[in-house]
Amino acid sequence: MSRYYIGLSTSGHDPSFSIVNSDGQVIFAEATERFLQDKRAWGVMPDHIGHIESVLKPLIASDPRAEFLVATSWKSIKEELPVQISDALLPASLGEWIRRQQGYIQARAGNHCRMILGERLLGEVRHYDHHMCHAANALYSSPFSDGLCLVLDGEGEVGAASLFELSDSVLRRAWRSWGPGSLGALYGWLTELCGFSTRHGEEWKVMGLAAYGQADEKLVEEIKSIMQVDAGRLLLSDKDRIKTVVSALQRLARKPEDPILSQARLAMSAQQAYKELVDHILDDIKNQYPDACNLLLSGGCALNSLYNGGVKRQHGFGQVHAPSAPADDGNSLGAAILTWAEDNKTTQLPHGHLSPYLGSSIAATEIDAVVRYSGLTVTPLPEGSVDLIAHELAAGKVIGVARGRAEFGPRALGNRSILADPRAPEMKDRINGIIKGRESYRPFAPALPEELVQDWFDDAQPSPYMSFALPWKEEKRSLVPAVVHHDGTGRLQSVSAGVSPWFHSLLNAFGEITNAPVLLNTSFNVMGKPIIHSAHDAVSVLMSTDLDAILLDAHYIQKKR
Amino acid sequence: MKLEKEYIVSFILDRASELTKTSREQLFGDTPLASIGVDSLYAVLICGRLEDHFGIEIEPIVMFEYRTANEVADALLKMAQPV
Repeated sequence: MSRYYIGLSTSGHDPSFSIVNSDGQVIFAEATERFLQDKRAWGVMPDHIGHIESVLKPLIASDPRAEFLVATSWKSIKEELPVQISDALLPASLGEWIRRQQGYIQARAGNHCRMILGERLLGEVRHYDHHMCHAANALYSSPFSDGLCLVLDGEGEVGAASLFELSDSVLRRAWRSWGPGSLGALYGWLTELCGFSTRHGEEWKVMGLAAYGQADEKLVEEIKSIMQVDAGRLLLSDKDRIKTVVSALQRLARKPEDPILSQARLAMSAQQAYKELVDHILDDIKNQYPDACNLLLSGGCALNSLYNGGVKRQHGFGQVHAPSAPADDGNSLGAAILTWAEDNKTTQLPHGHLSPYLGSSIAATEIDAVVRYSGLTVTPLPEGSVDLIAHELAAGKVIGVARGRAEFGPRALGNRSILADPRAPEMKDRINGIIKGRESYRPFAPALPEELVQDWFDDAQPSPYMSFALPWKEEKRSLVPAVVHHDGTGRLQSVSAGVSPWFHSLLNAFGEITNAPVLLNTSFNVMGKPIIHSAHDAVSVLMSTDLDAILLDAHYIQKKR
Repeated sequence: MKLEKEYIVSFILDRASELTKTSREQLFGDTPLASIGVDSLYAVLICGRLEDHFGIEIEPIVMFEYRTANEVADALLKMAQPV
């Protein structure tokens, strides 16, 4: 008899579920937004009945005696606490709305699991500390088992920062901050000031825009003065100070008629203020743990790849790692692992599994239907073959790839990616404008074989999930202009042969043709939609954009031009 | 840090005095904290200081369910007892 552990992410936004097997290995993890094709899936149950049934039914069919435990990624229902700790910066209505979403989902998550699993579901739904879930998630994909884990997000159980000690894969909380000091909320507020939407998760756009502006020292100091860092803990400044700064900065908010680039100075100042505040936290942590060598970054703030890229060098860590899904979607994985550990009466958590390819496969029946009935030009390829695709990319084709299992987390890492040749400067505008429908200032990320990262980047370090933006070597920038951002950085994916053999081979094959083993890799979606989930989604993007072709597992499918 | 009721009460009142700028001499174990201006935000901040100082994990509801420093200290001592 096998026992499985289902983790549910119950924040009310970015729901997901993960399944861990009896060996403590994650066998499935996916955000609900993919299944529903509804970005961030606000207010949807993480065990959405159609989504979870699509995974549990085949699992039970293959393992008829399977039994299950279910856990959520929060310990408490936030709306039950008579305090609002996150609305000092964001509008009170937004804070209230988020709190209610969390309350509703946290109280009822697991209901759909129970419907499907019946007596296979053992006991009551369990609940785990939110930041501990972030930390357990980060540890699972970590290449090291000793060090520290810093969690920074919008809001945890009692505050928005926690530090964990990691020793032989055992996590122990060192401290957590209490109260409304939140870097996630601060960055969210600044995102709104720049004219973007934090509800839509557009913090990325601030990072992209920052490269076009100079930080204004006075503005940076003003933003920083909202928050105080005390021995690593985050505190808000006094109410009068916040009121003064907020009303002063509110005047800088982008008006609908202002061009986006008018906010570049504010974006860069916001990023710089964020950097200086996190630097302060890490300096305090280094004072507390002078010998700490390795650092895990988790929580939504760990998506700030522009900041992450400098942490290792600036703060003197040996290794820095962030998981593929550091934000709340990733917490289902943490909750699943923690319930596995509790059930197995161990505090030593499993880790070492680097693959982010934990989601759904493209259904073979759907691919067959496209091959038979679409009327598109279909070329079947030998399994694993890369040569044709490499040549097509080198010839300037833009190809949507949907093969193998989907990535867990917000980044497309070669299995649900749009790939293109980065050597042509105009490629960026073509993909931004005609395929993805997004703003021209936004950068594209490069993928390259991990063993070649040091030849192309300064401060080289592994970045398997695009968690770190690093500076390109000066002499390489002109070779791949479509993936060099305005500030000379690239948010790279370092691709290993062990984790992504097909993508690694493709990069090398492309490099043999072009002398540049680098591909532009962006998520396979159109603006406003999540990454594609089905063959139908892939064909829909092909037929409604300037995309040249798609690869559906081993079928290369071209549009007739 | 050893958990003793008198010390916990004194610690809570010290923090309450700092936050609300109320004279420490006017504060006692049975003073209703809300009456001197300990609102929900201050309560949260005091929880954080208690957690750091005494090295225990506190359920946030503690400061909202109990009205006085005496009651909070009793609740903390009960929580800290081995089950």
